[in-house]
Amino acid sequence: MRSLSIKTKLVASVVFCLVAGGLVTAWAIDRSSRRSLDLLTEQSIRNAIASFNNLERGDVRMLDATIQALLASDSLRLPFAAKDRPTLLARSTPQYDQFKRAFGITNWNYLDLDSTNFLRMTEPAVFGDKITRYNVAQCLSKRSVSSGLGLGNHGFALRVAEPVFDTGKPDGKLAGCLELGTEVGRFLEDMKQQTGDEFGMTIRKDKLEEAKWAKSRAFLKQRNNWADQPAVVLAKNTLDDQALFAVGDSIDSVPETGRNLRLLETGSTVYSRGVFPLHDASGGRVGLLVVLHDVTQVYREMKTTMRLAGLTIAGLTVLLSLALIVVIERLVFRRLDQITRTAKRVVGGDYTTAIVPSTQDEIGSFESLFDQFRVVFVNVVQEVEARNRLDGEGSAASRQQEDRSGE
Amino acid sequence: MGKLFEARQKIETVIKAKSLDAAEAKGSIGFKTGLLLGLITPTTPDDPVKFEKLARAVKEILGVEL
Repeated sequence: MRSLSIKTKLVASVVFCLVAGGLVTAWAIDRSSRRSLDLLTEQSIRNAIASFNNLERGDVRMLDATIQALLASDSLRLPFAAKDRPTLLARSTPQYDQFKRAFGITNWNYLDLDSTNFLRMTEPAVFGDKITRYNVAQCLSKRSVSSGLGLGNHGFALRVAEPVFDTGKPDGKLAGCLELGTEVGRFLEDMKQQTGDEFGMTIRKDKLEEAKWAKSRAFLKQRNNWADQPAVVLAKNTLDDQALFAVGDSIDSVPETGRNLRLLETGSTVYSRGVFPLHDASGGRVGLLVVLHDVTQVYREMKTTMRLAGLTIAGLTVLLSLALIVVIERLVFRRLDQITRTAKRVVGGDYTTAIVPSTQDEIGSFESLFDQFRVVFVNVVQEVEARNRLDGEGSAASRQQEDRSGE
Repeated sequence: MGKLFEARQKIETVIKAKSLDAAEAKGSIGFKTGLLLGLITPTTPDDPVKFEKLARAVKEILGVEL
C-alpha cells in the first residue's frame, strides 16, 4: 500500500466511495421495491378478506331468506313435523333441483332434535346418522339461526341452519332444523372476478381423514394431492399450478390479518403471495386461503430500475474517476513534475531554468517557495564553483612557479 | 587528478556522444547519488563509497561502466 502512487490511492478511494454509495443506493432501491411489493400483497390480502367476507355474508343472507321462504308455508314444515320422510322428499325435490341450479345450493338437510339426519337431499337413502356440526348444535340448543363454514367431503361449505317449528312460529313445537349450504369453493371464482387475483383454498390435514380425502379426489376425478404439503391440502384453486399454493407448515402462526409469503415465478409471471386464515362456524381455524397477486410488471420494473441504477453507478464511477484524474493531473501532478524536472536540471548544472508560479493556490505557493530555494541554491553552488576555479587557477600558478624554479 | 573527477569527465563525454540533455542527465545522476557533478574538481579527494554510488547510477542512467 505504501508503494502505491497518490494518484492510484485517490482513484481507489473514489472507486471505493462510489461503489459503497452504489451498494447503499442499490440496497435502498431494493428495500423500497420490496416494500412496494409487500404493500401490494398486503392490499391484495385485505381485498381478498373483504371480498370473501362479503360473499359469505351475501350467501348467508341468501340461504337464510331461502329457508324463510321454504318454511313460510305448511308444505315442508308439516311433513317434517309429522316425520313423513316420503312426502317431505317428494315436496323438497323440485325445489332442491331448482335452487341447486339457480343459487348453487348443494346441501339441504332436515335434522332431528337429537342431531340425527332425518333427510339428506343429496343422498335421500342415507339418514339417521349423527351430525356433529357446530351450527346444527347451536340451532337446536338455542332455537335460532346459526351459520358458518363447515368441512364437507369435498371442501368447505357455508351452512345456515334454522329451527323448524310446527306452527311456523317460535312459540310452536320445535320439529328440528332445516340446513342449507353452498360450496365455498365457488367463492374463489367470484373473488377472482372481483379482484383479478388468483386464489387457493387449503384445509388443515388434521381436520380431515386421508382415506376420505383420497376417495373424494377420486370421485371428483382429481389427483390425490394429500402428500403435496405437510400440514394442509389444497381443496380448490383458480390456477392449475398447485406449487404456487404451498403455504408451509405454520398455520396457527398466521395472523388474522394475513401474512406475506415469498414471491414465486411461474413461466413469465411473477406472483406475490399472501395467506389468511379460514374459520369454521365455531371459530376454529380450519385452513388458509392463499392469494396470488400478479406483480410481474412491478417486479420487472424493479429489476430494470436496479439494472439502470447499477449501470448508472458504474458509469458515474468511471466518469468521476476519469474527471478526478484529469483535474488532479492538471492541478497537482503536472506542476509537481515540472518542479521535479527543474530541480533535476538545477542539480545537473542548468541554473537558468526558473519556476513560474501558475496560480495562487497551494501548489502555486510551493512553486514560489521552491523557486526562492532554487535561487539560494544556485547562488551557493555558483560561489563554490567560483572558489573551486580560483583554487584550481591558484594551484596551477603555484605548479608553474615551482616548475620554473626547478629549471 | 582524482577518480571522481575522471568519472565526471567520462560522464560528460558519454552524454555528449549520446546527444543527451546534459542538465537532465547530470541532474538524474545527481539525484541518484547525492552528488553535484559540477562541484567535482580535479582536487576532489577519492571516496570509494561515493564512486561506487556514482558508478551504479551511471550504469543505470547512461548504460555505461565507469
